[in-house]
Amino acid sequence: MKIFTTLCFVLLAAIPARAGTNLPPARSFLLDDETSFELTAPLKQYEKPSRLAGKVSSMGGGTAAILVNRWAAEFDDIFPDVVMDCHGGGVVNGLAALLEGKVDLLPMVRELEPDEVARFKAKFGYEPTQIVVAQDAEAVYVNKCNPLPGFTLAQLDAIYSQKSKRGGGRPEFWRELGVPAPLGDQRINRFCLVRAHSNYAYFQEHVMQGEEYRFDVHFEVVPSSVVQAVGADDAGVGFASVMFATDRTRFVPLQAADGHYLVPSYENIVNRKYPLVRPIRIVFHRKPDGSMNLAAWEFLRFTVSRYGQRIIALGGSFPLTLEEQTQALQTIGEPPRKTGQ
Amino acid sequence: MLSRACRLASALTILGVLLSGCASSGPSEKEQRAAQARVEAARTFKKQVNSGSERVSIEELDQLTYGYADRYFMVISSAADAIKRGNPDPVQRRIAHQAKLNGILAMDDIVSSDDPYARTLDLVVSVTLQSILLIDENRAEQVFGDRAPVLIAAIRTMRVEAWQLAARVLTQEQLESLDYIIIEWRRTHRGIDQVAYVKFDNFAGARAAGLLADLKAGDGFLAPLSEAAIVMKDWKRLTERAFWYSKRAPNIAAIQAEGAVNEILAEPEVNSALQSVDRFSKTAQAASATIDAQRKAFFAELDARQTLLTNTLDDVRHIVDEANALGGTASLLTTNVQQTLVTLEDTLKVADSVGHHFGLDQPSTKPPARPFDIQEYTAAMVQLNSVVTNLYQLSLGADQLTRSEGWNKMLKDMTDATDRRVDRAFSRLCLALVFAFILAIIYRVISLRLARRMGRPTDTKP
Repeated sequence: MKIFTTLCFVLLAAIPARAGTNLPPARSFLLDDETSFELTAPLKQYEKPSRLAGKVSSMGGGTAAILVNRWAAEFDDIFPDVVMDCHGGGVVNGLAALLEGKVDLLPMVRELEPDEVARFKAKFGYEPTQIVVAQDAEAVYVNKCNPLPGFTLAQLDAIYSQKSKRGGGRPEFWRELGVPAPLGDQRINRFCLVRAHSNYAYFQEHVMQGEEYRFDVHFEVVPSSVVQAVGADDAGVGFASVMFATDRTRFVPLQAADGHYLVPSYENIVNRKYPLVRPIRIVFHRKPDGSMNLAAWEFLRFTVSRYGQRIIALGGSFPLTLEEQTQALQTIGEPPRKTGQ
Repeated sequence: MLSRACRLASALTILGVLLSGCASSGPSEKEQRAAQARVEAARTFKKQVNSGSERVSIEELDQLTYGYADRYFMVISSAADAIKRGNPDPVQRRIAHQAKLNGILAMDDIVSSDDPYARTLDLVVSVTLQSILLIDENRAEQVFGDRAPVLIAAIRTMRVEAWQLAARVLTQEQLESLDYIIIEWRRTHRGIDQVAYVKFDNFAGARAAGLLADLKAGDGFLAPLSEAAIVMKDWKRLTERAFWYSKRAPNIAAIQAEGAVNEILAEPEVNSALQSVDRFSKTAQAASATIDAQRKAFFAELDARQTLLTNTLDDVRHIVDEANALGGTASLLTTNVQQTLVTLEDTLKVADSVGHHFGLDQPSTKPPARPFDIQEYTAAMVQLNSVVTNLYQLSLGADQLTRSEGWNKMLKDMTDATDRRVDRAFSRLCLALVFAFILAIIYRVISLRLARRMGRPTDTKP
């Protein structure tokens, strides 16, 4: 069965090479229930303590905060005596709260910047701890009627940036990117999340090489709206997490380092071949002597467990592999000897 | 007995005391500092007011939601009508009208609610869920095919506007929370199609409750209001809401009634029923008499419903008349109720003509084509019953509109508000009388004392 599943993924990933006709909608790349169970089956199951009480507070942004909320809802059911206090609001606010000791967890979809690690170290004398809790990637969405065969990063840069540093020109109409009429004669409508979201900066840094966004980009306040905007507009293009895939959009294959065009399928994300992979992380505060909030420690173990990973896989996200789970559990470490921070 | 001179003297004394109090000495250093502080506070307040122009007051939020609802009516109605126009498929016409009707009724229900905070969240929830269903889940295209883009564009426009409205009163974090709550609800309720009626209250959990509480506490961009301020502004807002609701009631009634007619015409069994009725009249003259009886029963039922409807509207008009304390509001409401009545009567006439058009009131005189078949008779009766049932629902729907809780609640609110207004006026009158009485006593006491003082030297004279 595993071979069959793998074969399915390979076939799905190969489809964009035959660009133009009957391209599958983005949603078809998300895991179905059966595959979700199959992929999470090898993972180590969560071992529940007999009793747990306390409070876990979290503040982060975007997709990572959504996943933490999903886990928190289940964790709350398992441990009614644990108060889950989860907030969105972005990584910048979350980091400030972590530094002030107001939150235990900082969910995010990027690594901490060196200066952010330095701030933490300057305050506490040691570095923060972080684990990968789920797979994710920045998908580029177009309307399902758009037969675009794929993008190079230079083309993507040229669509969004004021000055294309990668040399992709300055496309205004879809025909300039190889799309035939009648859609080819339409102007490209660009959608993006507002600056408060981390993928604004991520895309700016990784695709646009620090260049500013064009003035005519339409900014949306929540990621689901970016994807819907593309679904409602034949000439739209946008980028957001894979987990917001819908039936009216499709993933645009991106040219990988080896020259192949790849969609953000589970396989292409797990093997890190897709160019815009963004694992979801949780940063937390654990002292060198091992002390931390016991409820937060249990919550972290829960998130990477088979049960925790199954929750997010069934919700449309991509789970960890066994190797990644083992690494995360090692980082989480032994039960804290002392609680508190 | 006090002389006129005494009274004048006492008044002058009081005035003198007051004036001396004001001008007895120049401002001390402490008072100057206090005055300076007040000036600074006023400047700071002015700056805050200027810089905080983005904060939305409760009245502005009211107007924003009314404006949004009006645009929603216009945009969604236009899109649904565009799908229906020249569309040969009765099922598509019916579903387009249902989408329009459900959306408009849901929006009307949301905007006529009295809590502007919940109203804002309800509005975003309803429109976002509609957009998820029609766009993200591709339902619009599945149902309307090539005609879908107009509805997709319309609902997308309204979603964008709803979130722009939400962004006026919610922080980025609150917007993300709201988005998460909506997405999660849809993820766990994928089987529900009538999403227009989903409200924020349907979202259980501390997260949803916390978001509403934050919003009410002014923990966003919505200007917080004290309880007292809310009470003072309630009256004005209630009146505005009544106007808004009453102005749109006839249109909503018309759309509702049209929807019921579409329901009848779109059902395949109705078409076949009509064909069966025609064939039936050809095959058995005896049966046509039964059909005729059914027809009479059908129109008798319609007449009965119409009488009931008229009585109901008379009741409503009577209640509105009782709210005459509201002055102009009552007459306007009455006018609009009359418009509603006219619209509904027109609709019933349309229903009548529908029956006429399909020959339900014209027994056939043509000879039978083939022998009577009891199976056809039974099927025809069942199908005719379906027509009657649907038309009964049409009149019931109109009836429900006038008997609806929302309508009655609005009238009750207006009556209550009038009562409160009278109570307040009476309380003020009582207070004024008590105050006048106390003043009279004080005046009497001061006058007596002054009279004694002025009279004392005279008394001491030998």
